[in-house]
Amino acid sequence: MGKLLGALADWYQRRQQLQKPWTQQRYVALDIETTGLDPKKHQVLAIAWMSIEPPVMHTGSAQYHVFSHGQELELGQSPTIHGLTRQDFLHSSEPRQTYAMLSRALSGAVLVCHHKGMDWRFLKHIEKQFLINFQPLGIFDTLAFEKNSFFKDPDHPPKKGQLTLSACRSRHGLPTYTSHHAFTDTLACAELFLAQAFKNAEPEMKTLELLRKCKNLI
Amino acid sequence: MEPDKFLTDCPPFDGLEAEQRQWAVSQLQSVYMNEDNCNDILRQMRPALFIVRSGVYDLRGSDGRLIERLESGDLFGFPSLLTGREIVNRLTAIEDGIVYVLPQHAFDRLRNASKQFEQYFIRAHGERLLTEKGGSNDGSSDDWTEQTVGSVVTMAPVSLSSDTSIQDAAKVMSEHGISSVLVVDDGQLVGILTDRDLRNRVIAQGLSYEVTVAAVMTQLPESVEESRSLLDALTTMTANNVHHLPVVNSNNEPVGMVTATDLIRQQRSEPVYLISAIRKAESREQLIQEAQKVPEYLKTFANRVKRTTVVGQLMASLTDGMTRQLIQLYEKDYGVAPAQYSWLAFGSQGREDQTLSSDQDNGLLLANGLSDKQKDWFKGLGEYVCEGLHECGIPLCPGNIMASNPDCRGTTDEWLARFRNWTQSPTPKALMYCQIFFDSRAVVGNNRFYQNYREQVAKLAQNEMFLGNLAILVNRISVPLGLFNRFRTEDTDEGDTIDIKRYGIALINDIARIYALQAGFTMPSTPARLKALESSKLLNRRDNQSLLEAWQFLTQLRLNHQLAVWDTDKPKNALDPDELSTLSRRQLKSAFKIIKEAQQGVGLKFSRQGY
Repeated sequence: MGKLLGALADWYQRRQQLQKPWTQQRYVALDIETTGLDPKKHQVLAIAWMSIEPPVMHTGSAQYHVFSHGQELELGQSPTIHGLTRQDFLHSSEPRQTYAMLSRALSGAVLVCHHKGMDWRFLKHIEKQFLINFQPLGIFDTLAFEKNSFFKDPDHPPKKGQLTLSACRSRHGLPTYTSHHAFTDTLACAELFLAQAFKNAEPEMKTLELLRKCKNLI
Repeated sequence: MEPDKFLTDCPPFDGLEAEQRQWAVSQLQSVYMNEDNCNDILRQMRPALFIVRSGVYDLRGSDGRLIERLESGDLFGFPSLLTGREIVNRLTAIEDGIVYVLPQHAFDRLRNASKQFEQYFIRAHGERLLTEKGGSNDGSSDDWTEQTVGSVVTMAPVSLSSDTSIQDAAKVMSEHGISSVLVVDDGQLVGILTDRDLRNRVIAQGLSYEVTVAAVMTQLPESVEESRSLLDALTTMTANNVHHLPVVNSNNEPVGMVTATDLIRQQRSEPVYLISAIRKAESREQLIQEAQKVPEYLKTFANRVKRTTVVGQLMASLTDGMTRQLIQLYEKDYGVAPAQYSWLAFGSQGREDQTLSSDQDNGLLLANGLSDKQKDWFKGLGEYVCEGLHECGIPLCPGNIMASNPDCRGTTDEWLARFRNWTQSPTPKALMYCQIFFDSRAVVGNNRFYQNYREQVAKLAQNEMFLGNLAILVNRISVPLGLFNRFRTEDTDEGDTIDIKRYGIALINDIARIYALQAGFTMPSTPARLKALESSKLLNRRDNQSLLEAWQFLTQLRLNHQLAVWDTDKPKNALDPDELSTLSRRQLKSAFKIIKEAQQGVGLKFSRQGY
């Protein structure tokens, strides 16, 4: 019973937090690079995140971590994966420490990612694996937001490639970033989020309402 | 990887070491800027350097005038970083986008770490201020251009004699932690020795460290006199592409060193861009092309300085710069000067109250005993420079007081003879000449050579009869105030006007000159003369102050008028008092009243007749 009440209190508190204007909320943009789509089979190669306090992005203090996974990782024939070279793995981070840091960053913040599905799946898996909680106030999915605002008409669904990070960015007049890389993608996603939000929401709009625009409240 | 990748191509970050640049990236924030939040961001995040990553923004002055359209790779916010002033400019967003923000502490650290980085902003700051319009003068700082070099030199100069060994010199430099040292013999500055000299002329050449400094120093370096303005120091530095400038007193004795950093510390380096553009001209055509921009620059500059007397100084400095450049171009074709000489500026350029419509007044002071061939070189120089200045937009002198006229090219003895003649038998024509030639300044040439000569001229002027005649002349011109304190205007084609140069500014110049000559002063500028006369018994402090204020008011009035009628056929020195505001009209009247009283004072003190 006490546990339930505690969860309820948490939920209520988060709910309250989300009543604040979206411009007074903290956000964390995140991108994960993996060896594949299945958290059970595939591994996290790199993870990057960055705090956002609209309109400011804390670019300089963005986090970027690479995991070597001991000997298990096979780069195969390709010299690079997701822009990572063998050189990058020489400075790899300790996963538990890194995820603990991410957990602290996410607490009290709204998670921002492009296509939350995969990133969130991996985060959930990491939670179990390392017994760590990721509890953001909510998730803002830049892909879902874009789909809702530009492709509402069910008769004209988005074509392939129209919802990629770079396609969305160019729609908002943001610069083209060539390298595909957890760090760059995090930056790219953060910028896209701000462009979407500033163009579609008054500064006083409640965070909850903004999140509803991408229908992914948790 | 962004944003490092972007900064790699973005000046001045492109010139940083990779490590410095990556450090800069680690200090960055970025913002999403749109029409609604851009000015809040600017206010909340300053002082900081803003770097446009994407989007388009217009930077406008407080009066709404467009200063710059900012696009990807453009920087803003640095004037506030450099000067600590509030940001008064406003932004409007044409297209939303991302702007990187580098905070003050990071900016300062990069400035200290990279000279090239710092230089970039000093130049950019200068350009920005030239395009900025006034209104931002909050009175917090006086125009630095008016300060003298002497006022910023703090350290006693580190110097050594030319017979010091190189090794000992290097020891002195390393003990004091300095990169350059003055070489002084018998109290006179004879050279400068820098780290660069040691590297290029000693180590690279494999020279023995026992060789004396005299062999490797830069001889007779450019220097600046302590009484000159910071503007002049800046001109000299940019002209010679040096960052250290020895400061000397009027006897050419070194009193210290002024560095580019000292000037930057004065926080206002606006005309640097214009001056250096003139100094960088490599051909006559290029120089003329740059000089054509002067009126436009001067207008914007005039709009933003508080005391417009600086504008006269700037104009004189620019004319000095053009003159120096033309002389160098002449030397390129005809070899260097065959003898010691000074290029003299007279009249308004000499006094540094030059305006856009002032014509040339210049001459040459030559060493005695020149051969005909040597004289020919200077003849060619005079003709080349005067013609060049004319093409640069400085009108030829209708009275032919120009170095192209043989009468204005004299040896020391010839000039002194002429002054002796004028002061001993002051005919009306001689007196008129005196009003021009006593206001002289050396633009190019050895300072000491000129100063020796000028002091002899000053002695000649301390002649009671001569000064009395000058006083009479001043009183012949009656101030245009009539009965019941009403303006007496002249009926001209332009309506009823008053020539405020002839009946105002020139009269104050004349009055200040008489007092200064009596005191034996050699400086040509009216404010400087009045300042030096502050302790004079002949002119009391209050009258002195009133004269200075009247002079400043009239100079300002004339400048405003000239800017208003520029590009028209209207007279440049005459204006219609009815078109003035009530306040200006009242001030003009009191200026004339001050002049009238000062005229009478001069008459009483200097001429027996009394007026």
